[in-house]
Amino acid sequence: MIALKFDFGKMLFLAIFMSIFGFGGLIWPIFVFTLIFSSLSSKKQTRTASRKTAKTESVAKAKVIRAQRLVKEYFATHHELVLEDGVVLKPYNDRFTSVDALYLYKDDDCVATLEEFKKSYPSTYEDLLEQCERFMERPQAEKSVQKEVKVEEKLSSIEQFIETLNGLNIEISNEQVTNGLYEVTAYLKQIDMIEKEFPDSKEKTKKLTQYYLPILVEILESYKQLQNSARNHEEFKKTEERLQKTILLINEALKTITYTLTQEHFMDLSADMKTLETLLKKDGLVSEGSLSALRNQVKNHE
Amino acid sequence: MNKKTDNMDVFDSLFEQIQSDSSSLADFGDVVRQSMDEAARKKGYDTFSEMLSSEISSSITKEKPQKPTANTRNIQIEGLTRFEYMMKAIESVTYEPKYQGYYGTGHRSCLDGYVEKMEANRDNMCVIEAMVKADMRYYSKQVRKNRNDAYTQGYYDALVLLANSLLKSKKAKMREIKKIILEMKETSQ
Repeated sequence: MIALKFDFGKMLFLAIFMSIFGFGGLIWPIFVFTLIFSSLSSKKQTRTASRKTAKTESVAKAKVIRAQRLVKEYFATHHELVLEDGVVLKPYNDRFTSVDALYLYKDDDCVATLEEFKKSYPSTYEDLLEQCERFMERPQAEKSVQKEVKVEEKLSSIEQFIETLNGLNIEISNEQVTNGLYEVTAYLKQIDMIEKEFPDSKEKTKKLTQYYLPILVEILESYKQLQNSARNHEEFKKTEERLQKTILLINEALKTITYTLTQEHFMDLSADMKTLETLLKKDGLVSEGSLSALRNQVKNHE
Repeated sequence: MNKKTDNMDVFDSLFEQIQSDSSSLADFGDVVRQSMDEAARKKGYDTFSEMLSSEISSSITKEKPQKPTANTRNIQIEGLTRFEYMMKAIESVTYEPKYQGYYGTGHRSCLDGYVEKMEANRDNMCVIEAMVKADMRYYSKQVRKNRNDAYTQGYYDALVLLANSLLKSKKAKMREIKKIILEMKETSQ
């Protein structure tokens, strides 16, 4: 009924219009109506097309995220991913931090990080990740066993962290962060020397090498990436200040660890010396007076 | 400091030396020549006569002297490693008379230093890139502080040359890798 009403309404309007303007008066309204109709339909097409593009983009993004997750899992047990024609993916210093920080090698020649490759060729980056998935399925079991042993040997040494931190420090431009990191590596060298002299202290530094330092390295990697790509973002300055405070805290913690590692040995040494003094006094080899005179001599010499 | 003050300083110190020193005429000639050569070295030339002839010829030909650059147009990177490409790029650098003296010394000293580092890291130009970047940050500040220091300027310009050549080699290798990835994609489909 409504449709009939509408049609009747249209017909009536046309009839009145034609009676006033004649047949020729129809041309202009028909033209205007055609224009309105075509723009409405093209808007609808654009909306449909943009919806399709958004859907395609989100599917592609999901593929990339999935591929990145698989690559991350792969490098937990492998130290390189060999593709074709001499193209290899390897983490810096055999230590995986993030997918985009992996280095692309061509015939053993270091070319660029995946992040740099992504910036230059974003669509080929997605194809590369797809190919990585394909090649990860290929047997590389031998290397994974070797990698586990290698990782254990390397991660047990503080020297590896010192090297990694020095490598990251080269690429960080903020002076305060750089100076803080120099202090961190200085403390780590000290701790390494103590570990070598007193191997039983390795137990006390387990948390340092298994949690604190790996987290610090991850933080610095992320900061480095932001420094390269989002320096002008308003959040960057706050992040930088926070990082400076974090590094100050790390240095405080390392200072405390260095102190506690040797504190026990100093106490033992002091106790041994006191025991010897007591024994010498007891055996009558030294008198009370000579001991205090010797102490004063040492003080004056200082 | 402007050019005029530079020139007057040279003569002032020369006359002070003549008045204080009781040297012979022959010694005086040597002193004059050395001072003039020193002034030319600061401007980038090796000797004063070289500076004179170069300035005259450039004023006639109206050609500006070109800073030392690597002539890499004829170097084909295909088949070369990044290290080999960098060596060829450094070997192709030429120095015009205007860019000798302290500037040239600084420039060559930078390139020689980096040749040694590259030889120690033949397979890892990425490490060299990080070193060049760090050095550039430092030397750009030094150049701003000491605008008349030709040695530092030469050193910094050499770092820029190295950075550009490293970038070229990186881009060329990335293009090769891109080609391989696209071929792999085609074969897998």
